[in-house]
Amino acid sequence: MTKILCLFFMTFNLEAAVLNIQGQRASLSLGSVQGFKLYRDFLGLPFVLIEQESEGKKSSLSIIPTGLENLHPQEESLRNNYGRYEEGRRRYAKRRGLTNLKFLPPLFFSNKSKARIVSSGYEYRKNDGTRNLERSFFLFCPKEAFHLKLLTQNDAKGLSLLTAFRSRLRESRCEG
Amino acid sequence: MKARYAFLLVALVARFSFAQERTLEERLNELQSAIEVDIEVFEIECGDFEVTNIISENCIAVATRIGEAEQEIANLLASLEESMALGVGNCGGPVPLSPLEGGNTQELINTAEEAARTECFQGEIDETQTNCFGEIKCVLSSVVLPFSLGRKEGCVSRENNCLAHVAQAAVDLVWTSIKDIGGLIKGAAVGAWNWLWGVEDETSDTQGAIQDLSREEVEEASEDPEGFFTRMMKGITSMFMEWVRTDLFCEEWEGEPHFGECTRPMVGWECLGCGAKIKGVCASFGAIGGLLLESIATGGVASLLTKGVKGGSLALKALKTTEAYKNSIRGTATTARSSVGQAIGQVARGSGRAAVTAGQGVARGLRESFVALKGTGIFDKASALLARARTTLPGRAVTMTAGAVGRGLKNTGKGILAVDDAAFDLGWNAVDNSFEVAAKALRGKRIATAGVDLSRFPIALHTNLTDSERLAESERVLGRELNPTQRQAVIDTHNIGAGEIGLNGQMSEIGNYTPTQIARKARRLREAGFDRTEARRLMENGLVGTPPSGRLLDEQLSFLESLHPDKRRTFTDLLNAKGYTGDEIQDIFAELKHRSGNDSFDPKVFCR
Repeated sequence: MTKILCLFFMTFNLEAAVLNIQGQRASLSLGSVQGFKLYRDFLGLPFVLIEQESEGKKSSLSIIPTGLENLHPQEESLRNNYGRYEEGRRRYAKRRGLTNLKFLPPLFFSNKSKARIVSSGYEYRKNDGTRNLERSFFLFCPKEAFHLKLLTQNDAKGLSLLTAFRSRLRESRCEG
Repeated sequence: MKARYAFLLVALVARFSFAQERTLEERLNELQSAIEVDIEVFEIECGDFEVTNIISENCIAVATRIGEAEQEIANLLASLEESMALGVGNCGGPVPLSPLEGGNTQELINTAEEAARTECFQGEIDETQTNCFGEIKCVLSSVVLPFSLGRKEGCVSRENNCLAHVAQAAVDLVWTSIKDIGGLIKGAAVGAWNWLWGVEDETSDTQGAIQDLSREEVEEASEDPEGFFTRMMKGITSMFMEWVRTDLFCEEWEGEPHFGECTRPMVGWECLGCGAKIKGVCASFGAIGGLLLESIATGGVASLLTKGVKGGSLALKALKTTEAYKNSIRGTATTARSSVGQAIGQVARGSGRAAVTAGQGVARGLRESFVALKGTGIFDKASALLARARTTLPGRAVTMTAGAVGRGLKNTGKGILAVDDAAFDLGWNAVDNSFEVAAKALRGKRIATAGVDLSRFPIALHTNLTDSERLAESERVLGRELNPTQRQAVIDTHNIGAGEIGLNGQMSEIGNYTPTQIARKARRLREAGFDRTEARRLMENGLVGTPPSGRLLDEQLSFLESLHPDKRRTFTDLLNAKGYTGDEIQDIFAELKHRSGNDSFDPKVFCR
């Protein structure tokens, strides 16, 4: 049975390393996913994990320490106001010519340090035909909040990546 | 009354359409469709609130939206008037933040005429090109970057600063510039999403660009960002130069102008001085500048542009294959001014003047329509309702609109994506399947300990087996050995439907196959000699299915938590209807609680 369990998460469960994302007030201990490499200060992104495949579209996970401390999500309000997230994305999509928008539900869960994580996301089609999926995570560590976003293709592999990174977030720890 | 509103709204939109301000027009269209319904609802449901003193939640929502629409129309109008005052896509002088909306027809005409008159020798061309790239590089160095890019002062003028603007806009697309995220979030409690809009846009742009970079380009951008951007800027400039020379001012086409091949690019263009070239390029930004930016963010053009001058030509070719480009070119007057010469110059000069005059008229007319709409009193009335609600309904979240918006529109039959609706739309059926999987695994069992392992999801696990394990497990499930044909059929059937669209429009997987895909799987098994019962058993045990995505096994469990209580109750009813006992349902919820890893998850709320 153990063997089967291992096989279940085989595709993206082989952790490359545990990353220490140093913010201004705290750090985030986050497991990486095999096949991704961490870049710092990359095109303005403080931290970004980029898929290392040489061919095809590259998935990436941006990580932005916000420098904000003691933030607390009002989950009920966020649930009820999800239309505001959608509105923002619709505006962006219109500017960028994205079509076939489909919104993913908001998610609320905690990491190992009991810090709450709020997540939003949507799927869309780019004008070159690429079908993408984006899911953002706002992680409320007590001393600093972190914004993370996964951009990947909306296919079986992308969904597996999404599951893998979400699992890493569940396992993450706030430190400092 | 209603007809009057409708007329005024149509007038507003018609005038905007005439202005051909695409972005503004689209936003106004959105406003129109939203406010049209709102005004009607307000009149019917809320119009007599002053008499009845009854203010429903829906009325508050509708009134709030009407107020927001008023504000936004006013803002749009101000933007339009401002752009009119600045001139249409002016290449010199104060350049608006978004200089790509228009195009300076007059500058184009002047450039074309100058080019048509100019003759030169190859040596002069070479010299001009050398000087021009120097000036272009100098202008581009004014772009705000985290590094100096050999910054030089004093080379940016009224005639070339638009080049810096378009480069800046392009750089901004691939370079995240999240400014002052702290300033966006007021207070310690986060209850809204809109303060994340900026962060979301910035990261989407940059990650969108990353998606199309090669591994080498990623490394280069990491190790030598200055070189990366220098090449990108050269690419942008050369792309525009190429477009002006071989498209806008092409003298002879093979096939349809602008869509065929330019067999005789404008000769005089090469002879123009650098200033004239830049002016011509600037003047053409309005036509394809926006498309270029859109392509950088969404079409992989960023990757081409980073190859510098050569990449500019390739990027142009890529851009010209897009539908957006074709539509844009067809939708502009470019065709009319495609040939070089006095005659076209006259045509273009005339249309240029007409455009400016018409633009000013549009702004004036729009203001009049807006004033007229305000004159009906609808905005004041909505505002009065909100003021009354604030005083008569203390504690009511009158100013918090989004949730009310959802409810309000749902009530009017429009339907909007409130969170539970979004979750429902995403895949209630798939949620159902997920529970089915869990329920089947749990049926007849008792959870002895708090720890629950994944063996409770055998169907899901079976989909992830290796081929040899799959075959061994198939033999175990069927209680017999398989012959070689049947072994191959199990593997083949497992792969049928993989990578195809499933029942709910997402990728096919176990629980999400279309009837046709299921039939194909069944047929393949039957052809190999499996009888109906065996085929069914293999399929129901997940031995010939594609692994479920995270959505089915993990994601859904979490988003179940976000479902509205009504939906949860509905699901409990569903389980009851399917014959599960209360204990079994409790077991399922316990499993979910365990798997969700969420301490605040309370399974009891499902059973209220």
